[in-house]
Amino acid sequence: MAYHTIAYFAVFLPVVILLYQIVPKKFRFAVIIAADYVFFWLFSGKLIVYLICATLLTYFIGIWIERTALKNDGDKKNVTKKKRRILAFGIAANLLVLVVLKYTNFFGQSLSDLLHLFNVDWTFGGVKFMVPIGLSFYTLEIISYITDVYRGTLKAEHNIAKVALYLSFFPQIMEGPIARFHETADTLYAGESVKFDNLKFGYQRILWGLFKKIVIADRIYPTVNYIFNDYADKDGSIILFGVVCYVAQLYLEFSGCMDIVIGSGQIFGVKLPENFRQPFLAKSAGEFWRRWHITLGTFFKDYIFYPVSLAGPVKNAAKKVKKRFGRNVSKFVAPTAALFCVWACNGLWHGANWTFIFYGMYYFVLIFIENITEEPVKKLAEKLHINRESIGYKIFRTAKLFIIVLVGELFFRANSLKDGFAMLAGIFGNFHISALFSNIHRLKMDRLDLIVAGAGIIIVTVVGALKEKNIDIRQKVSGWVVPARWIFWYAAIMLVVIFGAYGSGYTAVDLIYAGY
Amino acid sequence: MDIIKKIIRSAAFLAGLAVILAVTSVIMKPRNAVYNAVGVDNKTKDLKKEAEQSIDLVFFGDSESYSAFNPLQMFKEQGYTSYVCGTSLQRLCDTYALMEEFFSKQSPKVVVLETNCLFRFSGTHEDDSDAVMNAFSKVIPVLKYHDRWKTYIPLKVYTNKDENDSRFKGFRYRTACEPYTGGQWMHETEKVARMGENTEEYLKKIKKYTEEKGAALILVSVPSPDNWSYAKHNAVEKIAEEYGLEFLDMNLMQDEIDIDWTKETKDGGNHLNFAGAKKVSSYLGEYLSEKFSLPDHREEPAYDNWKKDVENSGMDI
Repeated sequence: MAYHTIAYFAVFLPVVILLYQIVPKKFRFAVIIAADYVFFWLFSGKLIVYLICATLLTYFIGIWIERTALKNDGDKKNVTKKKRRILAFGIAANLLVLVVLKYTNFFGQSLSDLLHLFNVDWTFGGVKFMVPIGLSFYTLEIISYITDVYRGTLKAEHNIAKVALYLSFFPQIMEGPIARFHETADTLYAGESVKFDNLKFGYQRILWGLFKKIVIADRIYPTVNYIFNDYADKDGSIILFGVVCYVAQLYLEFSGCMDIVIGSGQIFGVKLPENFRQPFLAKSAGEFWRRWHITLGTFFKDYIFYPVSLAGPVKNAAKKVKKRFGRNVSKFVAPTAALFCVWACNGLWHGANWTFIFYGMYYFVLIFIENITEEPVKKLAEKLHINRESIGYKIFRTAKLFIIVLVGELFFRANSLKDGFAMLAGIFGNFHISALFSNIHRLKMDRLDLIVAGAGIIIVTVVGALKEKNIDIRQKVSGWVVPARWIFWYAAIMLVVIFGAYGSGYTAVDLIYAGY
Repeated sequence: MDIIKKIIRSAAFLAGLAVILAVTSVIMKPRNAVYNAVGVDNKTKDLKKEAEQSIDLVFFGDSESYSAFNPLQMFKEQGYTSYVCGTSLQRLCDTYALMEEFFSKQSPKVVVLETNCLFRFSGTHEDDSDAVMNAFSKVIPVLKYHDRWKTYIPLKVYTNKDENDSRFKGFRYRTACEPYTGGQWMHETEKVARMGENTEEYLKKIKKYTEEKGAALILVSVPSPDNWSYAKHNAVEKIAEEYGLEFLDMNLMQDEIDIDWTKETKDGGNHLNFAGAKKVSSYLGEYLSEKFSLPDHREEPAYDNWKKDVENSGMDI
C-alpha cells in the first residue's frame, strides 16, 4: 500500500480521516498513532518492534538529557560532559541498528575484497537482515530530536504519544520529508478538526503527485531499467537517453511522492517541510542541493556541517594551516572538512554500495571546486566584461548544471561503479545521435508513451517555472467560477485515470526512496 | 449553513465524477471479455491487414509463440500460410477473444496453441497482489481498460510497439543472445504441475469453438528451459489425453531440434531468438504440413505478396 496506490489514497487515507473526525478531539492523536502503526505493520510486520523500541529510547534519552541538565550542581563542564555522553549513547544506539541492518553486508564484503588483495583467504558469507520501512528516515529524526534537546533548543517531551506521533506519522514514514519535532508532533497531538479547505487542497496536492508519479515517472521506468541493465551493446546516444530518463524518473517520482505526503499531512493540518524547490533552476551544484531533497540537506547542515566546522580538531588544523599558508587558504579548512563529512554521510545514507559513496564524493569535489573558484571566477568575469545575468551565460550555467546532474545520477543508478564508468565511456566514446532516433520506439516506450511522457514533463516544467515566480496554479484555479473550476479538476483527475501507467501491461513500480 | 452548502457541493462534485467515470468506462470497456485489452486490440488491428480467407494455420500463445513460430519461413519451406496471434503474457480469455476475431475473417484448418499460457491464470481480472485495485476495477472498468486510449489514436499516428509484428505475420524477429548454461531441464518425474485457474474451462471453450469451425486443435510446447519442466509436460499430457487433443512437446525433442543454448536463446533460456526459432519453425513447419496435408501456395499468383514479404523480410530464412 505505497502512497501512489489506490489502496492508500482512496481507502486507507479516507478511513483514517473519517475515524479521526468522528472520534472526540482528545483521542484523535490515538487514531493517528493507530493508523501509523497499522501502516507500518502492513509493510514491515513484526519489525514494528524496531520502531517501538526506537520511540521508547528516544523518549527516555530526551528526558535523561533534560534531567541531567537540571541537576546543575555548579559544575557546568561536568553537566555538559554528562549530557554529551548521553547524547552520544542515544545517537550510537540508533546508528548501530541502522548500520547493522543496512551496512553489515557491504562492510563485510568490502573487508573480504580488501583482504583478498593481501592474499588473505577470508570470504564474507553474507547475513540476511529484514529492514523495517523508513529506518533511514526516522533514525535521522531521532538524531535531530535528541540533539536539539541536548543543545537546549527543544524541551524534552514528557508525553510519549507526541514522540510516537513525531517518529511514525504514516504519510512521511516511508520517504520523509525529514521533519523536526515542532513541525509535526504538537499539531498532530492537538487533534484539530479536519478543515474543508485542508481536505480540498490536500487531495489536490495528492492528485498532482499522482500525475508526476503514475503518468510520467512510471511510464519512463521500463526504459530506464532496460538501458541501465543492458547498456553494453548500446550506442552512447541511447545510454545518454537512459540517463536523462532516469533523472526525470527520479525527480518526478520522489517529488511526486512528496506531493502526496505533504498533501496527506495538510489534510490533518500538518505543514510538512517541502523537499523540492525547482532544483533544475539552480545556478550551481551547491544550490541544486539546496533545492533537491531539502530536508536531508538541512539535516546534514545542522547536525554534521556546523558541528564538524566548529569541532576542536578542525579548528586546530585550520590554525596550523593559517600559520603555514595564510588566511586565504586556512579559511577553506573547516568548511572543507565539514563538507567532506556531509557528502560521505550523504553517499552512505543512500545505501550500501560504492556507487553511492562515489556519488557523495563526486558532489563533495564539485562543491569544493565551486567554493574555492567562486571569487576568482567572479573577478575573471568582471575583467572579461562577461555579464553573468545575460541569457547566454544563463544557458551556459544551465547546461553545466545538467551535465553535472546527469553524470551524478548515472553513477547513482548504475548497477556498479564499473558499470557507471563503462556507461560514461560509452556516452563519450560511441555517440551517434542517429542510433537514438532510429531506435527510440524500441526502448520500452512506444511513440504514444513518449508523447505522454514528454507532454507531462513540459507541464511539470511550466508549473515549476510559474512556482518559481510565486504563481500558484492551485490558488489561481480556486479563484475561478465553480463550473470552470470543476471542469479543470475533472480533467485533471481523468488525465491521471486515463494516462496513468498502471494496471495490466504495466509493472508496479516501488517507490525508489523507500528503499533508502 | 456554510457547512451544509459545502457538503452539498462536494457531493455534487463527486456525483459528476461518478458520471464521468461511468461514461468513460462504457467507452473504454472492450467488446469481449479480455485481460490484456491493448494487446488484443493491437493484434486485431494487425489481423485486419491480412487478406480475408488467406491463412491456413494460426498460432496462439504468449511470448513463447511469437518468439518461436516464423510464418514466413514456413511459407518459404512448406508453402502454406500461417499467422501468430500470440500476445505478451497471453491468458486463455485473450486467446479465445482473439480466436473469435481471427475466425471472423479467416478459416484456418489448424489451430496451434503454445502451452506455456495454460499455466497462467486464465480469467480477465488481475491476479496480482493489488486486490484493492481489482475491486475498484470491477466497479469502475475504466481503471482496468484505461490504456485502450492508445487504440483510439488513428493508425497513421500510432505505430505498434514492435513494428515487425505485422510485417512478419506476428513473428518477432529478434537476434539478441544471452546464453543458457543450466544444462538439462527435463528431468523425468511423476509430478504433475498445477495449471492456471480457469484453464480447463477455457480449454473446453476453445476446443468446442475450433470443432464448430472445423479446425484441428493441437497443443505445442516450444523449448524453454526457463519456463518448462517435466511436471508441466505431465500436466499437459494428462489434459490432452482427457480431451483427445494432440500434444507435441518440443522440450523432449532435443535431439531432433538441437537448439544450441549458448547462441540460440534471446534471454538465457526464456525465449528463443531468431536462430532458435529457425530450427523450431523448420521442424514444426514440416511436421504440421505432413500431418494436416496443408496446401502449397508458392506457385499461386494470389500469394505473390507472401513471396514478396519473404524476399523483403531481411531474415536469413
